[in-house]
Order: sequence, then structure tokens, then C-alpha cells
Amino acid sequence: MLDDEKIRKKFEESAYIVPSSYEKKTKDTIEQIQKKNVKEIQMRGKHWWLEKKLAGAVILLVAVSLLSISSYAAVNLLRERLRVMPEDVVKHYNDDVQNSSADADSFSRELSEKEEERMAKLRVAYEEKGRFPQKTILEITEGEVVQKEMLCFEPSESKFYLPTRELTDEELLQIIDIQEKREYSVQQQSKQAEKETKSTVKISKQQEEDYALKAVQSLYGREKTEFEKISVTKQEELDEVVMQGKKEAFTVFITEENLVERVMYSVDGSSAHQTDVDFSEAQMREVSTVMQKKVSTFTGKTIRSEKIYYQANEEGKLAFGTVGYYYKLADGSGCVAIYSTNYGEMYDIYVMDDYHSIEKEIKRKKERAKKQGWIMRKVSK
Amino acid sequence: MNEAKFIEQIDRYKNDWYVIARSILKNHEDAEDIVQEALLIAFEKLGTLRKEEKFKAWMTRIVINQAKMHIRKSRKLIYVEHPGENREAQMTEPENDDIWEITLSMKKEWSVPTILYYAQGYSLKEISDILRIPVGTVKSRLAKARQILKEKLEDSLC
Repeated sequence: MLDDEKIRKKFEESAYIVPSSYEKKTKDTIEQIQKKNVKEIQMRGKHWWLEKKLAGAVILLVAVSLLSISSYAAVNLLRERLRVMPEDVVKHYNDDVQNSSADADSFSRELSEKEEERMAKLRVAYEEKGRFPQKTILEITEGEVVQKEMLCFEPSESKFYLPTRELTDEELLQIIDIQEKREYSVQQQSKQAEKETKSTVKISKQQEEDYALKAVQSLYGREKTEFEKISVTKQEELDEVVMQGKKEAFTVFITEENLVERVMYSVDGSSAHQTDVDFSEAQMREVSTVMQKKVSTFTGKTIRSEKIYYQANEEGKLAFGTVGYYYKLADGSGCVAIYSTNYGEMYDIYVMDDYHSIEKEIKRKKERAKKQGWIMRKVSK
Repeated sequence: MNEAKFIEQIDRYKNDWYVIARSILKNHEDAEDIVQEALLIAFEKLGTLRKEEKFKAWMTRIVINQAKMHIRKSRKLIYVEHPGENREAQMTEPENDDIWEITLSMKKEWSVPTILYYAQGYSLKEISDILRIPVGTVKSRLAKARQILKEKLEDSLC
């Protein structure tokens, strides 16, 4: 069995040989640093005006520091603003988000370009300079008559009703404010729920094997008898169960909270990936139904939204033969399921505590795809 | 931290920073140069270091930033996304069962946490701070790296 200690020992035993050229370069750099320091000290002694300049620089530095401090203080102000929200208000906002029928916020009319620009600037001011609205937005309940030319928010649809005229700074700040508060509330409630369900009891290898089998059974319909070998490797933080069948294998990762975090599927002698695969968006949408079921089964949570992406080459074909299905779940967490066209099956599924991490991942992948001359395409509904 | 202490620390940890740069850049010349750049930057910024005991981790962070910036600028090493939607490796097969060789041939997302955790003794939290990623992500990256090490090294470890 390969465990953490063995890996550490192996690293200790085989020291990495650093090239001699590196030693030399480092020695040169140290000399450079020493000379630089001496030179600076000498210059300070010879040129009184430099000291004046330095004094000026110090003043500038102090000014910059003060600005930084005020920015830091503003961030603290925002944190404080959110932190002091009473528990029942946090719960109220979280419930609103969870119970809303909409996946995302919407507006009764599109924001004008100018409004969007101002909103972006005000968001920075809100987050970094502590510029908050004077009042909170007017919340209305479902079916309530919307007063014309008055900004209000309908939580059950997550919809902002906007006046036809251009929004004022105060109104834009009210929108930003409620968005931040709702997001904070969901995060807080999610953390709380996690704390409550977190188990500190370490489970046995047999129990882990059972968890892994259950996951594979529910996701792929495989039975224990189909596996020739099942091995459990207990690590400090994330345990690993490998189930080897005749021609296929599953690797299941189990967290210290005893949750199945990830399941990977592989077929012996075959890769989950192929290059330049023809697979239409209509086919991707068809697969989506199956993926949604698997994600619901795997997480036991309600799906709030789905995004489907694939990396397309210049001809519009799948660059790697895989399609990514990204899900936002009701509690603010996320789940990613990757479909392999070669396997005709999902080959990887994993959960992430925070859906924002998934959004960041998508963004990073878009940038990387772009660098390689491909496009990360979103499948339209 | 004064200059003497700074130089003493360089002498002590320089090899650790080299392997980190090497694991990101995948070639030794760039790794050598990047650490030198990072050392000069660190010296300039030394005044911003609040806790001396955090020096090694702070410097590691600078090395990582410089290495990543180098990739962006030079595009010498174009990051090839694994088919597996960024979670799998673009790997070159190491020639033998040397743990360093295997680790350094891994995709940087796996090699860097592996080196920090197993070879340099950082905790998961510290790695999370250095790499600015959640602890959960550190864990799953280590799990994947272990999987690779297991495949390549199991015989020699039994």
C-alpha cells in the first residue's frame, strides 16, 4: 500500500540533484543583492538630495499606505455590514434564494450600457470603498402590484422591476446591496449546514468500500460481483477506493467527512478522450437528461441550473471528445459531470463546495482553449 | 529581515524553490532564471514581509507567480489542457521510477502540491494559502498525484 508516509520517505531517500549552473547563478544573484545594498547605502551618504527624494518617496508611500488602509477598512466595513445581519434576516434571504423559481436574477428591462457601466463602477465602490445605499430596496411579494417608476424586487422570481427612466446611483447601489446580502446569506447557511452534518467519526475500510460501491451502483448500475479487486487506500485527508472489473475500473474518492466526493470511470485499453469528434449540440442536449439524473442521484440535491460546454476545434468538432456538464445546486454548491463520447458514458463526476469555483474553472478553461486556438462553446438550450 | 538573514535563508531553501519552478516550467534553464528573478523581487519587497517565519512560504509564492508569469509572457510552454476537462495530465512518460522524475513530469497542478506537501512538509492549509486555492482542491490534486505515483511506484515501494 502506498500511503503518505511512504511517499514522504521516498522523497527523502531520493534527493533532487540541482544543476551546478543553478548554484552559480544563485551565487551571482546574492552578490548582486549585496552590491546593490552597499551601493544604496553609499549613495545615501553622498547625496543629501537623494535623502530628500527618499523622504518624498516615504511621504508618497505613506499616502499610498493610507489609501490602502482606507481600502482595507472599506472591505472591513462591507464585511461588517454583512456580518451584523441578524440571523433571521440571513435565513430569510437564504430561503428566498432556495425557494425562488428562477436560476438567476433578472430585470424587467435591460440595463442600458450606461447603467451597466455605472453599476460596474458602483460595485467596485461598494466592495472596496464602503459606498452603501441609504435605503434598502423595496421587496414585493408574488402578485403584488408593481408601482410604476419605482424600483422593487420580487424574490420568488428573483426579479428586479425597474423604472423606465435611468436608474439613479442610489437605486443601483440598492440592487448591488441586495445581491451581496443574498449571496452572503446563502454562503452562511450553507456553511452552517455543512458544520451540522460534518461527521468527525472515522469510518472503516469496509464502510468506505460500501459507500463507494453504493455510489458506483447508483451511477453506473454495477454490482459488487462484477469487480475482481477492490482496494481502499486511507490517506490523511482524502481516501481512495479503486474497484477493478474485468475490463473497467472505478476510482472513488471519499472525504474526511465521509462523503463520496468524486467518481472516475475508465475502460482498460481505451481512453476517455479522442480528438476531433463529431458530436452535435443536439446530442449533447440529449445526454443532458441522463447527466441530470446522475447528478441528482450523486449529490442528493436539487439542480438549480445547468451549463453545457465543450472545446471545439476550428472545424467545430470536439477537440477532446468530451463534454462538460456544470450544475449549480440548491445549496449553492456545484457538481461537474464529464461525458466521454468514446465511452458513451460519464467518466468523471465531482462536487465542489462553492459553485463560484466552477464558474472560475469554466473561465480558466475558456482562456486556455483560446490560447490553443480553440473555443470553449456553450451549448444553447 | 536584514540582508544577512535573507542570504542565509536563500542558502537554506534555494533548492526547494528551484524544484517548484522546475515543476511549473518543465525545463531547468527557465527554472534557474525564474528563481533568480524571484530572489531580486523578494529582496526589493522584503519590507512588506510582516512575519519572518513566513519567509519561505512567501518566497515560494513569489517563485510560483514569476514562473506563471513567465509562461504567460513567453508562451514557451503552452499549457495543453487534458482532454479530461482540465483534471487529467498532459504528461511525458518518465524513464525510470525516480519519484522526482515522475513528479516533475506531472501536470503542474499536481506536481506543485505534491512537492510542497510530501517533499517540503507544508500543511494542506499552508499549500492552500500559497497556491490561493481551497483546501479541498489541494486534497483532490494530491489524490490524483498519489494515484499516478501509485501506478508508477507501487512495485518499488512494496
